[in-house]
Amino acid sequence: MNSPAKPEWAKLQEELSNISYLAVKTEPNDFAGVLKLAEYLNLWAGDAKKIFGSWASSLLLQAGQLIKGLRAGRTSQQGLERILRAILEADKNLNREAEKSDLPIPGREVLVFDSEEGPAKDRMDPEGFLRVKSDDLPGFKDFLQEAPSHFSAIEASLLQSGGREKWDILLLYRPIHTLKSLFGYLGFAGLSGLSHQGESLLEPYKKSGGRPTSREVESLLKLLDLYRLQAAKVGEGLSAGRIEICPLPPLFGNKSLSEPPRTLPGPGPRVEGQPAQGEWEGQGDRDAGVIRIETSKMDELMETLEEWMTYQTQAQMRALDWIEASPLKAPLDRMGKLARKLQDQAVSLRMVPIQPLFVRVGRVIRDLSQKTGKPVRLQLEGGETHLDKRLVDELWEPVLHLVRNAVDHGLELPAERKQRGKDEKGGLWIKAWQQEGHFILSIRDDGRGLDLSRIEQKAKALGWVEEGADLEPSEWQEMIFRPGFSTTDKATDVSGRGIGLDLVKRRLQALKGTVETATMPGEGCLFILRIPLTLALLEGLLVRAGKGLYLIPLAQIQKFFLLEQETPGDGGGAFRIHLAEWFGRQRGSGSPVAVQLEGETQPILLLVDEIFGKREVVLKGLNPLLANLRCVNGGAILGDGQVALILDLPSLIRELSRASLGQEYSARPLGRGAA
Amino acid sequence: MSAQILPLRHSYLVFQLGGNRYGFEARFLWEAAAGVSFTEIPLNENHLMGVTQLHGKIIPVLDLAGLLGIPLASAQGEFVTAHLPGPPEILVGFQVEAVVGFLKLAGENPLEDPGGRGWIDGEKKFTWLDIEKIIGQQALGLSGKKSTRIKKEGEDA
Repeated sequence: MNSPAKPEWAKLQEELSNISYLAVKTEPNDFAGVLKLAEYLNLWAGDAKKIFGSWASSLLLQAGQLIKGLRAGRTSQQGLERILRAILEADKNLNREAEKSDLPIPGREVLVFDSEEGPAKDRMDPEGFLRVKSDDLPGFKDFLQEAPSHFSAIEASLLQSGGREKWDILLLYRPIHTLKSLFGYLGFAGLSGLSHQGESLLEPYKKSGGRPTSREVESLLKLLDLYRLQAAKVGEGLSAGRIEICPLPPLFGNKSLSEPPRTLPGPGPRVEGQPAQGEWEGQGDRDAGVIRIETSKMDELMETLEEWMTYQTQAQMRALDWIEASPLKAPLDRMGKLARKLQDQAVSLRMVPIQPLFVRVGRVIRDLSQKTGKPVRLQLEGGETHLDKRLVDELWEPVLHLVRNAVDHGLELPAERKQRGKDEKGGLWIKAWQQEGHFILSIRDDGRGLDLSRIEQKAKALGWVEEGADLEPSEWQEMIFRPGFSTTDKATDVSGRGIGLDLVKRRLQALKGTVETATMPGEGCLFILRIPLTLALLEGLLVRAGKGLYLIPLAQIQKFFLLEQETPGDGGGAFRIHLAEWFGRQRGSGSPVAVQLEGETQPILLLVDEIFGKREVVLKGLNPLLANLRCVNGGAILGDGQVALILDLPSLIRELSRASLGQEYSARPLGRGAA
Repeated sequence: MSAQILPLRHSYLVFQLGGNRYGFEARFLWEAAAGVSFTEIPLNENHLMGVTQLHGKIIPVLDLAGLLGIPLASAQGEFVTAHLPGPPEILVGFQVEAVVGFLKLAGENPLEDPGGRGWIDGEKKFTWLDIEKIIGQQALGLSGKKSTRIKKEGEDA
């Protein structure tokens, strides 16, 4: 094997991630899409072969045969299955090579956690306090920030449960489920276990649609008090490095529910708007050197800065001649630079690397591994990928549910893995990267994969599909994201209540994101979470099309050139369309400029009226009214105060590639006719 | 013109559009300003014609005249921005020919009596637009359906 150059390696990794993402997106009956995928895989294997030895050659051969097979009539579904299998195999091989060559990929740090190598020490000190190590601190701090919203949700739901208004048990069940995970993850096994009992108490009502009795509500309120008290102890004990663990009364056992906890103070009278006794408030804000700021305040700061920059630019432009000859020029230029620097700094305050989330995952896996008796090798890649802090926080729960499911349901026990010829240690790979204005996180395990026949059986039993229904595998896979779906008959305190994946989907939808899955029976399962970036610095080409300003991200631009005459031969076989007309607007009257993009089936010449050059902008999420604009995934305020829309190139290229198959040069009908 | 806050319960911002007077509750007014330009956006079914920025925020521009089915007499005019506290919080702007001013109506609920929706003492002042519902419909993408929430002039209760 040749020693791979680091950039080549990183490129291969990224390309394989892109191919796997496309594979998940491709429908099994999309023959052209599957063929295209096979061709991508073929090209990738060709590149990999130049660096690696036998496995890459074998993959190249497989991909070649697959293409021939598809052209000779093999069904696209069979083809897609083979492609997914090949991608998983290629990914595994690439990871093995990484281990062999000990390659830290430039710009993409790889973290490996081995559950068996982790310090499986007793975390309790002799006095029964929970020890807090420095690497545990972020997890505890995040907990302190996150927990109050769950407490409030439980309290509100319990208080409403006795009323006559419509009541949704999931609004009570979900936060308890999440707190169970959080307390378990932090090392409060007892409280996590008690939460599990609380979930079990609610289980019958989930099915029957009933409401808990007043006695049960009382028990759950006591559980809530315990949560709050324990959270207060966490806040108090963090700086000392040891946390007192609250003794737990048998809330859901046979003993009298009225019996107060032995050493706990009573919850005291509850006054609306006032913290209950033992409730903590703003504990996290006491951390020395850390100020917690609401993201809305950060947004206001950024907006003020942008407004300032707009006025400054306008003032300078309006008095350009005067300023040029004035002694004020130097200080004004300097002020402009400082304003831009301030803006960058404000963005960086909001943008954080995803690494702390990865570290938390490592910790969860270590605990889960011990709990389930399944050794796990976790590989994390892309921790340096930056994301809006709010999105990092929002992602934690979905990720937590997915990794718990992967370990609890996906990975087999060591003996079973050995029997299947797999490494006894289960594999879990998590990767993060940014692509065209989106943040993408993939979570893959090499466990048993989704059991589609079991999903089918369960979905039919639940009455979700009719007997004899013939659904595509992807449609069956969709079932796992429905509320209340679980193929596990017995819930464990780790997972299996059918709550997690439903929550994952809802959370992602709330972020305007998607979650997709691909599975190969016996080979594992892949989940891909994709969310649009709400804030990022982005480089793109600023263009005008009609009366619209657009920023085209640079990554997929091949070249641009002035199109003197629009004769059919100009594009050299490329599909050509004017951006304004594609968007149903009127184009400008002059000679257009062509921006060449790489299409799915052929190059695309995107015609625009004017090119202003490269710009670095702050990508901003759009107002809810603009959320459904097609092929657009954000906006940016330019220096002169104008707004440019940021094109979602993958979507645009997909739409244009489809249009190119018909070679129609016409605006897509949009209902109201061109303005 | 800078932002104006009108805490009065039955205050309305009245403006001119297509030669007629329309108004909406002043509590939804964020700002009215002249000389605001906007950038065109892709054609869409939500009657949005562009985007502009005000105070560092990107604001969609609603084609209110088009939505009401009336011709805009002049492209020049004033730009009114409405704010719906939400959730989700929505800011949306639209062009009007001119802002007439604020009108305070008397009575507990002047727009709900038979003489309401702009008729005071038998004299027509303006057509009331339920801006919250109109914009809410846009946010939900329901504008393609015939709106029953926009009360037209002379329409019976």
